[in-house]
Amino acid sequence: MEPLDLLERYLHAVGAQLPRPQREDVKAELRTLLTEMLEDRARQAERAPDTDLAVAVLREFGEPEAVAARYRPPAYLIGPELYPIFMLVVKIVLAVLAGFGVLTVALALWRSEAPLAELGRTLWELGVQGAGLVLMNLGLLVLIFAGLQRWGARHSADAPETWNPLELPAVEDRDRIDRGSLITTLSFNLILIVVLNFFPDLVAVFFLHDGVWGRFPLLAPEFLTDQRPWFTAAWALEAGLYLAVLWRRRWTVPTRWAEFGLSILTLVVLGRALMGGEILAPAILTVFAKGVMVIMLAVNVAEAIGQIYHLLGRFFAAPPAPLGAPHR
Amino acid sequence: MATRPTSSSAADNLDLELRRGVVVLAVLSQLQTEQYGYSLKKALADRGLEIDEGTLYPLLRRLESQGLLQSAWRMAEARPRRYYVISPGGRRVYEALSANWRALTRVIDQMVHPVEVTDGTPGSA
Repeated sequence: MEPLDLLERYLHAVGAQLPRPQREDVKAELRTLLTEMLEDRARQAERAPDTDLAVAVLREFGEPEAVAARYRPPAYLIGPELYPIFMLVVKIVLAVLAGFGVLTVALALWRSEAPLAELGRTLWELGVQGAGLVLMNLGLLVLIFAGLQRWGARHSADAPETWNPLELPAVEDRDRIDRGSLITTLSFNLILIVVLNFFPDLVAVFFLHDGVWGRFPLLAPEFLTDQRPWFTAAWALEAGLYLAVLWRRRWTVPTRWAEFGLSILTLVVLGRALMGGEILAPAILTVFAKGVMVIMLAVNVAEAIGQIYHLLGRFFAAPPAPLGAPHR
Repeated sequence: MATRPTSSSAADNLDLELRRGVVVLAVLSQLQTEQYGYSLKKALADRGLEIDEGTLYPLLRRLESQGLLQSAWRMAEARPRRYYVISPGGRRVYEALSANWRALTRVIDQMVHPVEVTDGTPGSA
């Protein structure tokens, strides 16, 4: 192959990756530069320009993709300004989809009366649908953010004159306890345990008839025999955990794991109640109660996902480096 | 041309960043009179600053698009060449960059060789 033919191939490869308006101009300039470089090398080698010299020159110049990239302005699908917001939205969407997925699977299991083999196929189909849903949502997010990047709706930093450091948000201390909230929940749990176990008749509709107070107990006997021990255990364990946290004055890794375990137990308790029989005496109220429990289940799933996310994040996070140690 | 300080990739990257900052100043300094790409590369190399072609030629385009250089094709020579020269706006930027460079090298020299600098002149012991 003639050396000039090789240069033309190279120029064609570079030009193919340049924007059309500047393509021919850059190619013309590079043609001159490469030819002069080749002639210079040939003079130094005291021989006529040949293919070997052309190869050496082009190797020195660099791969066509790399050379063309240097002529183009930096281009991002999602640039550094938008990337942190994009990742935040991705995490939120994935968390919502995960919660939705767990709920769907739980409902499918609850409703299914099919044999185990059929159940496996149903779960597989749900998994495939879920994966498709995740991919579709991620694709949509990428498209939306790429559009924002392209059409300039970029997150712009505040000008130094208007930016006020005093408005910076406080650093979140996830292990600091909220005493009021813990004490309220703890008291509420104790009241529920006492009422459910010793005064279940108090869960009733009270009415005044002919000057005499009457009541219509709401809790179904089936609920009291089948579900009460489970609810009592969950509330008692939660009360115990909150007492321990109040005593330690801070959340710790073991108490956070215990909190996650309790969330799982709560999911089991709610799932059992949902799949079990009557909860409230009139059947129509049981439908309402189970509707509320489905919402509670979804909230608990989301909480459990958040808890395990933070726990694993803490587990895999590197310990802070001592002063003077090199950063990894 | 001075050799690179170490062969590690981290040192290479830092060296590259350091050069990237000064290469604009070097190019502007050599384009007080007009030059075409290859002659500019050789002029820089003759003065001890090797810049690879893949960096230098796109840089010339970028500086031109920023209004710091002017260019024109010359067809009368053996082959058509694009000549670059510093623009009036580029000259003002060059003056400012040069002043900054002198101040910066003085300060950095005092940091890097604190004992050798006694009268503000880098390198004088």
